[in-house]
Amino acid sequence: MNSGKSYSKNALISVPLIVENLKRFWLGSVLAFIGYVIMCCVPVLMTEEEYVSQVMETIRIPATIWAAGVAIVAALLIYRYLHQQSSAAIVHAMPLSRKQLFHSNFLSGMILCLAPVVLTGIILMIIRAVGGPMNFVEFDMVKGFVQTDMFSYGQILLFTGGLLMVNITVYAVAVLAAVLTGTSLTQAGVNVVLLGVFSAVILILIGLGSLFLFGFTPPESLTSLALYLSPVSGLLVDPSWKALGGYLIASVVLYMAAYCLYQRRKLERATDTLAFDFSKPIVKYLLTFCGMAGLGFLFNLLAPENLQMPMLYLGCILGALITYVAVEMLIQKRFKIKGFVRGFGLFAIAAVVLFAGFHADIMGYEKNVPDADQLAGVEKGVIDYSYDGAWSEDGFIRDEATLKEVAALHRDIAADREELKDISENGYTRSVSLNYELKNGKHMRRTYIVPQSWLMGNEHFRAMVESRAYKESLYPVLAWKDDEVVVDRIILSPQGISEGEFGKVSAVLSEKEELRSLTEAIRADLEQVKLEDMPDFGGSKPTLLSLEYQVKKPMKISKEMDQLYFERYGVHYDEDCRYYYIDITDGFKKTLELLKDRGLYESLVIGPEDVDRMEVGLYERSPEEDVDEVDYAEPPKPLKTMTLTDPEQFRKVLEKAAGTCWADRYYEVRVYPVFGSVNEEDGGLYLYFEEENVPDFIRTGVR
Amino acid sequence: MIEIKSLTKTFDGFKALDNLNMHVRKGSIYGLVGVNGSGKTTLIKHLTGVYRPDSGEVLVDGQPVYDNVEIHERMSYIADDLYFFSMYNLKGFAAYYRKLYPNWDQERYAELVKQFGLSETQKLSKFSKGMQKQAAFILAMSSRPDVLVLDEPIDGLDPLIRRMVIRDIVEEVAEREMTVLVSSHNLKDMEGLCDCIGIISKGSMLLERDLDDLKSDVHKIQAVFPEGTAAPVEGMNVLFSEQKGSVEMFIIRGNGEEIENRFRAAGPVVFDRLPMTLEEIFIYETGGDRDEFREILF
Repeated sequence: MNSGKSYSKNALISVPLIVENLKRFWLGSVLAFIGYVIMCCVPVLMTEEEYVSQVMETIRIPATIWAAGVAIVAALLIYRYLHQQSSAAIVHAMPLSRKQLFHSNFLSGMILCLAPVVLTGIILMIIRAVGGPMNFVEFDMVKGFVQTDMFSYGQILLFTGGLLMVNITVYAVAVLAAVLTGTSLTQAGVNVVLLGVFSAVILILIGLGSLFLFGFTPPESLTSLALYLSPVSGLLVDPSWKALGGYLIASVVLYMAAYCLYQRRKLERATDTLAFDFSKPIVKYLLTFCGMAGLGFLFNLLAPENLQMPMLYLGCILGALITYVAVEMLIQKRFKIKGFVRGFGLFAIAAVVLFAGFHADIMGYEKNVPDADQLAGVEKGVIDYSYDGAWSEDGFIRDEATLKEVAALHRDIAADREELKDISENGYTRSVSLNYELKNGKHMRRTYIVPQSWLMGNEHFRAMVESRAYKESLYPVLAWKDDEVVVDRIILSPQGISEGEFGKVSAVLSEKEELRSLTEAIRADLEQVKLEDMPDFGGSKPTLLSLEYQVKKPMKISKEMDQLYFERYGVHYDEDCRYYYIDITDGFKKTLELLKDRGLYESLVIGPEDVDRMEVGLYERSPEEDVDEVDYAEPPKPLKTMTLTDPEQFRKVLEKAAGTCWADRYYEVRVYPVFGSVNEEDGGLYLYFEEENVPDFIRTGVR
Repeated sequence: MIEIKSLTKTFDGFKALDNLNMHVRKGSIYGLVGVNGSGKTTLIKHLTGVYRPDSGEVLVDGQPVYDNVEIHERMSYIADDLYFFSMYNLKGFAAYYRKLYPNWDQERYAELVKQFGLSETQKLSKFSKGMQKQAAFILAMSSRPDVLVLDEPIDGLDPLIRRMVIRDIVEEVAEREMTVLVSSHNLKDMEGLCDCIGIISKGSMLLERDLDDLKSDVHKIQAVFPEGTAAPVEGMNVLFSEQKGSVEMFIIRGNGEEIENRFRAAGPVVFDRLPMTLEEIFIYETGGDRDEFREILF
């Protein structure tokens, strides 16, 4: 017989309850452990040393999802007693306070979830201890050689810590869901809602911004917030100790919230869909909002271009109606729901205000253009993200004059936004990405899709592209310091044709003096070349030849390191280079002069004397046709054609025609060589004219 | 021992308990009787600390029951709708109860298991409803509670087991002054078990009486008088009277000896003082024509 002494009336937890929970649910924990072993330990054991790091990165995704699933199931099993009248009554009639019940059950679930992860971590540690470090040498252009243990204890700890934190956070969310709901089914649903709905709401707002606001680019903080609001995605994208700490704090907050609600929970709400009345409108309207946007975006995506906005609205109306009614049916547990008109009416009014707000840009987003004197810098790669960051640690253009042009370009885009918004009428477009660093330390981002023709006509675009600071971001040869890099060789290649076509062959320069003098000429030309000489930016001049820089960053390296480098990259360190290309037009006067002096020009550049004939075709493509989508099976047929045979006409074409063309109506000139043969299918040189620059003898000559 | 004061509970606008009062003496067996939906289970869930009152008090030994571990350690509850952990057998559950209830009596547990002849190793989920009730009873009694709360305990039990259960309860009450509250929707179930009855209807306590008082206070008289002689009932508190041929039947409240003496003095040809069932007492005590009584009586 017992002593009759009270066991634990003031204790925070009940050890017997924890032990009982472990006895009841240990099998689930074992299954979770088997899953982790199969997902984490087996792949590591089966992987070669150098790929272990990648494998750890790959298995993190399924392991994280598995950990989240285990936590959700654990909470479902342990807190199931809350969702049946009989079990809720019996369990709460036992000599256990609500405080003890909550904390003990929470702790039991944690043990059941965390034990398999800890064991998995220990096994990975043992594998590491037995296998030793998996050293791997990587080369970084800024840091030089970096030797990394691909399977370090720290990495294993971080990996295990990430899984533990997913367990803890998702379990805390799942327990909160258990307390908030009255049935296990709705617990699972609310679980998903709590884990994803807040991220979804932010992503929806971003989506609406993209649809309604010209140039809308979500701030990084907003997209990050969307990711971090769900612990699963948050820890997948950022498995750092800092993130783990953040989620630990969030878990404690969730835990406390769940505990407070547990204390207030009325047990008679078991079998109700939601156990707290305050949660009903929150869940109902959040889900209706997501349903509205989900179907709206889907309709918008599937609709033809001219019906996209009407279909967006139709989808939103249907999505909101369907979701609202479905959720209300679930909450009220009846088909004929009460209070539809009032409840849905409130939502509809809020939705209309939201859409009208976006439509009218009440926040003035589109008009908000920073003044040049507010700017500390703009991120390099403004046009189509064209920037190679390897040669500069600062990714921003900070030159004041250039910033003035950037701000002015931005102002012009904002002023012409109504005209620029309709992409369907704009033909070929470019992306203008403006990521500002402001002097007050804040950032501001805009991304516009702007027609090529509009850009080419904008004086500030021209001034920006032609500025020294901007060119440095485009051409590494202007940015690097000569004492930091070694130019290994420069390869000059004929443009637009295969090696040997037209009797032209590439030239390789490797003599120090040759390299130095050519680099000097290139630099001098780059500093003064105009927009027309930059084909990547829509310059109208033909590219005469292509220049390839092969450079490397000198660094002393031991034989051992070199061997490791060779094993990794298949080349010895001193043979490894980085490559940069520059298109040379006739605006590169000093470069071309130098090449002529060296006798290289003729062997590289096609002249009238190399041409046998030119076949001209006038083509038109519809504005909807994607410039990049070429149907090789059925090439477009020309509207009109002609053949050129006059060397003077050859000269004019070679001087004026461009290597690419963005216009919808264009002239394609296929150039056939005197010497050698070309493949009839696609050989030869292709040049292009637009209506604005086509020579008269072609415009009038085509039939 | 148990005191409920002005207890009110509302579910979604429906008043399940309305300003209900109840008093249960220590060492008594209190029968809570009411039709289905009258509020018995709601009242019991308040008494066992499962539900939190909207207003009013539920006290055991002067202490509130809700979230009170000390009271719960001294209280056992057998619900109408039983619940056991899945995969558990009686032995496993007993092991858990042993850790939870400080007064757990392992010897008593062994005795009861033997008495009811239940398997300790078979899963409780495989038991019949009656066997599950027995298992719950064994667990409840083995924890040696000061207060035993039984919600519809007789349902599903065969007469033999029912007698065993009643005998065990009565013994515990006699030996340890255990206080018992037992609910039923039928007054018949309370016959021979309870010493106090409370009738609950629509969330309110209609009446609360000691059975001894009731039984000693109400009498059933059957008599035949010679022609021309009237029954001497003038001035008596006659609750009910009926004549079938020459036989007259009276239900009279008052002192039994005095009533008998007055009847005998009138010279009846036949005179009988008949025993009354609990149902009869309640029928005549309460008028017997109210729906809420009719349902618990028949």
